[in-house]
Amino acid sequence: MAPSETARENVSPGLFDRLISTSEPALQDLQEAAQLALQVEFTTIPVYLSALYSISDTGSHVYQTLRSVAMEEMFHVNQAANIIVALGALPKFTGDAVPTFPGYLPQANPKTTPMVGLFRASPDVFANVFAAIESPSQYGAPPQGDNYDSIAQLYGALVAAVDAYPGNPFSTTGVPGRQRTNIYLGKFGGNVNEVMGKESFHAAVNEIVEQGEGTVPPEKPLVPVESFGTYNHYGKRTDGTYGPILGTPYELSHFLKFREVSLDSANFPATLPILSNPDSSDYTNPQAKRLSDSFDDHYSLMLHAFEATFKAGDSDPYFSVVLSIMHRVLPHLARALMSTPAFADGDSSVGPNAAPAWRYRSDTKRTFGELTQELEDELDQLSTSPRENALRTHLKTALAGDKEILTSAKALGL
Amino acid sequence: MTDYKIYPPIGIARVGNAPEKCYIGPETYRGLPINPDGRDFTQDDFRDEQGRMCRQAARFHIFHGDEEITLDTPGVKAITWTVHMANKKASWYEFATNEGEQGYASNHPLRNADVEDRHRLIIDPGPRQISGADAAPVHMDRNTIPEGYKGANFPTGILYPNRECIDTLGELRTDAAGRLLVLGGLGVSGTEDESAVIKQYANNDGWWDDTGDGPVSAVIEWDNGSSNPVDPAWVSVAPPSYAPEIANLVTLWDTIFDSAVRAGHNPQINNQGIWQSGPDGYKPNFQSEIKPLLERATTYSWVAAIPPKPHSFDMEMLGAVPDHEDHYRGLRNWILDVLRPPAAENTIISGRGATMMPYLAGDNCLIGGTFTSTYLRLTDTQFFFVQQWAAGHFVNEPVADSGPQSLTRNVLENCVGGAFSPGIELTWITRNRAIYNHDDPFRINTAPPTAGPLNLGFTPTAMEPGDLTRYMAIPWQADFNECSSQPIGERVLWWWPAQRPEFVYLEPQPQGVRQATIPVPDEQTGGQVAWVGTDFDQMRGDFISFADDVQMVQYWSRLGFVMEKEVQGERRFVEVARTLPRPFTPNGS
Repeated sequence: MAPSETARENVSPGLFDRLISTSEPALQDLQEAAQLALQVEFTTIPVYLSALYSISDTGSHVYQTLRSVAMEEMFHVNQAANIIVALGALPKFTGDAVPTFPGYLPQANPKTTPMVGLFRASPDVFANVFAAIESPSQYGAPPQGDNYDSIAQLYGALVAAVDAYPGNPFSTTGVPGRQRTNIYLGKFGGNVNEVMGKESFHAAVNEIVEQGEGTVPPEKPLVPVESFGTYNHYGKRTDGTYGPILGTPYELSHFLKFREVSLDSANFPATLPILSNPDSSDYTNPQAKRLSDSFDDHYSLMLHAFEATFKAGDSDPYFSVVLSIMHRVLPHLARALMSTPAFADGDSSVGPNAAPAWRYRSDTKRTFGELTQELEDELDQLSTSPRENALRTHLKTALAGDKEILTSAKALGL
Repeated sequence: MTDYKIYPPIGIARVGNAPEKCYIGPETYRGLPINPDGRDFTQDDFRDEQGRMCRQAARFHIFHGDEEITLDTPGVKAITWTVHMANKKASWYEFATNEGEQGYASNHPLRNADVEDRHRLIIDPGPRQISGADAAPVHMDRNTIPEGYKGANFPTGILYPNRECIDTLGELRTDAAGRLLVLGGLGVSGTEDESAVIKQYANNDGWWDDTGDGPVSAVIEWDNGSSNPVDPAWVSVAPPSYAPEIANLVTLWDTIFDSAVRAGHNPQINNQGIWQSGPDGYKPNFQSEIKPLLERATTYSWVAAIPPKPHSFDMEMLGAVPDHEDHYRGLRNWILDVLRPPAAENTIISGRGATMMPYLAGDNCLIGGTFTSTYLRLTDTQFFFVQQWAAGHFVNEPVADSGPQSLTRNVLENCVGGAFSPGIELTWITRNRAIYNHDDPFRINTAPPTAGPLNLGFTPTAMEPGDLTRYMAIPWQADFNECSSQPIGERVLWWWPAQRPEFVYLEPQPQGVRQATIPVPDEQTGGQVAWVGTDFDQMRGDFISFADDVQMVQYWSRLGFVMEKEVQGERRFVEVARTLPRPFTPNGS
């Protein structure tokens, strides 16, 4: 498959040209620029999660490191969505906003940024793809929205445009959206904040950029020891042990986390033998095809519901549906796929095995109830062979997750 | 069995080195101690005017049903209390994590094994009686052994390193209504060996401390000349609780209650071994059975180095009882999924990659072998409640907090219910159903009064003075000092931060007002500092502890308490009443 151009087409041509050239940017251009930032963050998540699920030992340092980054990218997405809501628009997570793979980060410079795709985890993937995605910008690199070399430059362009806007482009009342500060759960770094004006916008962007790429030059600590009064991270301490860390030190930037993993290739954990950049139309094992479709359909319904959680109103499917699909269904379906040979008569311990494609399927007409039923049928068809034990366990867990939210999903019309 | 019973069935006194001034142990859950004169408790009440740490008295009440009987009750002529405490630590087996919980093996070593006369290893002042209102103290010391008591024994000579003697296990007092106050020892620990070396966290031959435990009985005399015996209770003396308003995730009440549930005392929860799950099963009350667990996680962030964000919870969402739609199941499941389930005592990372909670050391993370349980988990009953709640089968109702059952629960919820390695107040002996009354699941089987000497063995149907605390560390300061942090693999886990703080906040320059029900540390709170020792290197010998356990024997009474305070407009839990300098380097080195 050729590298996708969709994400680029999705943004108006010359958006950043307009933003830079004018002294009074239009609100709609700011909204589009923020949506672009959201899509950049969004694009990294399937990339990191595919590699994550391919790692067998969830307790390994590599798994834990990648998991922490993937979670923090979700925080960035949430924060970017709040910026969009405050700018008076609704964040988009469906249709053209969904990343396709392989491809480049939306609007990125293909000469200087990595081709991102869905890869089985390896030290080289950490070095050449992940660390490259989170690469700090060079000292003095200008803010740049089109053809940027680093994500920090893109945010720089967004900040410049917002600063140039006369008055306060942000509003917390009378907007169609709802900012979310209560959906980023767990121990990972950063706090999602409500964006109310330019000051809180700057704080939000700083947190994203510092957490991801670190700042320039890399020798200078971005946030040496923030005057944060609590131990808000567990990680590698300067005494060499694992434990509580005060504030948000530079060592916890995504870039350095990935760098550390990629340099320690001898300790890289075992991974499942999955295909990289999978395309289910290549599969000759019908079970792999069915599971791939099921994953994509669940993913698509989840995105649909996730988008709805940022709309103002009473209905909020986040805790009833979205979180459950994220935590209790998709990870298990992903691992089920990764335990299924892509080709007929294959051996799942040898591979190549299937893997999630993270396709948004707007054409699917299957309801959540039908997806649940399909999973149940899939489970019934499994042989009793011990070779399928892992697959059976993952399918059972995913099915249990499906059943828990069936009523809520129906109420949403999913 | 009588209609009159003493409550709480297990009361906890705590050592202190102030000879006179004392306070009564909290009788509310996560409450402050109680001043005997009824004044509101302040940070100045932790110590006497000379800066010595006050002892915490265990207060005992008599109830007839839900009605309290005191000297003020019409028809009551007198109430006479009898208490017999002893310390059997030196005469018992060595503590080795959970070895012995199912009975000791023949090769399990005794403490002070070379001492032939085992009775010489028991501290036993014999029984004491007290009656009346505001009665003068009755000492349980070496000078007032009751006539005819044959088992009396105290350690002889001066004990090092503090050059003190153990002359008493405490004293009895009464309050204005004739309720009993039991005070424990003065926190004296030591050995006759002048070099005073502590080699190990739990077992140190030649060492003594002045904790203890024993039965509390009473007789009510009526104006008409008749009298009623009262079902006895038990008093046990423990180390100080340095953060009284912060509770442990698993409390002593949870542990004993769980053993009672599993023994069939609450068939609505567990009927003949079958957990009553599902929509028609037992519905835990969010207010009393779920929310406290979450709040305990929140308050831990004031006394341990844990991130506040994942330990802060939206109680409105979590307590919303689902009707036709369930909006928050995902959020409840998120909590269920990070809680370490039964049989996963050795799992730190779940299959999903999440760090399992609690992040606390377990009963046996010290000795490899068959009984390994590296990490603490909720009790079976607590976990069952969380399961039912996550599935949406729960209620959310206000709870009445009065009467003798609440008193029992409140007192024991302020104590540690795990990990038992060995623990702070009591250890795994409290999980042994054989020591409890068949009909009264929290009441210890009490042996008839004895003229001594005390029994050296274990008779669960007739528990004697000293039979509960003898499992604990000797001296208590050794375990108390060492059980701060626990290296396990590449991680360092915490032990009992709610009783023995690891990190504390001081009273710095704050601003802003918070309205949260349970406060959470934030940017304005200032940095956390080690309660004892240093904090910058987890490998150091004095990482959040004294480098030498003997220093805990020397300095325990000067450490600070953690108390909830209004600090410049913000509610916080901060360190108060510390008389040790900060920073403090023992031996001036």
